[in-house]
Amino acid sequence: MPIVFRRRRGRSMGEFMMLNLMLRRLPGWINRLAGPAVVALAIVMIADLAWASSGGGHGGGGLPQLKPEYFPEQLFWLVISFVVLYIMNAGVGLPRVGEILEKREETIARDIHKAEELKEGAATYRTAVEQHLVKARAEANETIAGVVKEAEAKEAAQRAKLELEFATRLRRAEERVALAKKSAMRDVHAAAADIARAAVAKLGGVEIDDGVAASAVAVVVKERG
Amino acid sequence: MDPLHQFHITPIIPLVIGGVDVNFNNAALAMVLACVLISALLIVGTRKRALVPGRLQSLAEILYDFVSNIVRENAGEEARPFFPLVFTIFTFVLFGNMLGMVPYMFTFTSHLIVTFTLAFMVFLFVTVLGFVRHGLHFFAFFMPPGAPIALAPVLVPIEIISYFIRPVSLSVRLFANMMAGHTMLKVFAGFSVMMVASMGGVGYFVAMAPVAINVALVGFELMVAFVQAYVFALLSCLYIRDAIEMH
Repeated sequence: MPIVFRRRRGRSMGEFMMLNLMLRRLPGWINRLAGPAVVALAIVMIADLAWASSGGGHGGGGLPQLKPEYFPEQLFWLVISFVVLYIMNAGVGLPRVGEILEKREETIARDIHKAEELKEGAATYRTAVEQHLVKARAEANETIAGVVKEAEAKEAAQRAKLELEFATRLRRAEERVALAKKSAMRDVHAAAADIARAAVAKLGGVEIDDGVAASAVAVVVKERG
Repeated sequence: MDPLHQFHITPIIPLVIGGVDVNFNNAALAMVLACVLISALLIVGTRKRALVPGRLQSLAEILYDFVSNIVRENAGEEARPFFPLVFTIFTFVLFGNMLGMVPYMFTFTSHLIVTFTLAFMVFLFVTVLGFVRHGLHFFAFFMPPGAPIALAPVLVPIEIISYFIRPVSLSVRLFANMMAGHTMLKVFAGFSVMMVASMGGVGYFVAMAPVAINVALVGFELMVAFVQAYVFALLSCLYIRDAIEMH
């Protein structure tokens, strides 16, 4: 597993959040630390007192740092611990942390990509729905127009039929009226002829036949309209 | 009351290999502890491999990011293979310094032999890296580019001396900082003890003044412990850059 070398991105979010958090929690920490600190200081003071009263260490003179007899053991353990630490870091620890960081970046990138895809899909779907709506509206309008037209046509047809029927009935009625008028006029004419004949007979004593009387009535009716 | 007492090496487990004393001493204990803590932070802290990190994992990630930024910004992209080395140096020194801040713990970075070995290792590594990268051309490192050739007899010795002084300055800086800081802490603590010893009951109140100063000093020393580890890693990175890029 190769060590992942991270890209430059200035102060990392983690560092910033950590600093922020530390600053905010500082007073609380100090409060909590104050008690143990006092206890620890007291213990140190007492221990130092005890140590001082017992005569003070082995009293070896000079700087302990400048005593070559202790060099080999320090070097020995320094080399061992440093090499072991390097192997642990390079072999296990760092690849692991690098892997975690890489995976997180991948996951975030993938999720963003997915969200963008979904957004795109939603936009496409929306357009499709809108198109569908437009189409449906147009179809509905067409259907409504068709139905209206049909209804109007039916109504017109019915109206025409009814008008025809009324016209027929009217004509028949008029014919009947005309017929009745004609026969009534004929009766009136006959009555007039009778009256005329009777009047002539009574006044003039002349007997005229029906034909003459009728023609005379016809002439008068014609003259007077 | 010896403020240097804290720097004494005391064997814990006697050990002799090839006639040489290699006792497991208090310094070795601190070194091994530093190793264990660093490895535990990186390995146990990240055992969940959480997408949203917990406390320990955050710490491990911040440490990783921090050192990786130091390496990239100061040693360049080409120094990528040396990131584990710089990380190990930084964490080892940092934990050594920080463990030293724990009362009764030994500060192994306060011993010149330890810091010098670390610095000399960096020096050797950088020199070998320079020769592997540039072959014999690496000697040109000792002649600043663009300088008139007539000045070479002056410049070259200066450059060579400054090159070889590197492990010394690197190690003495860390060692002196740690030793001075810890000695100062102990001296002020010693004042308190002396006051109590000489003044009795009143001394307990007067002794609070050095204690208060020590509280501030402890804060300061914590900062120094971090800054010195940072400086050590930073300079190592700059040396690596020199070996890779040559000026």
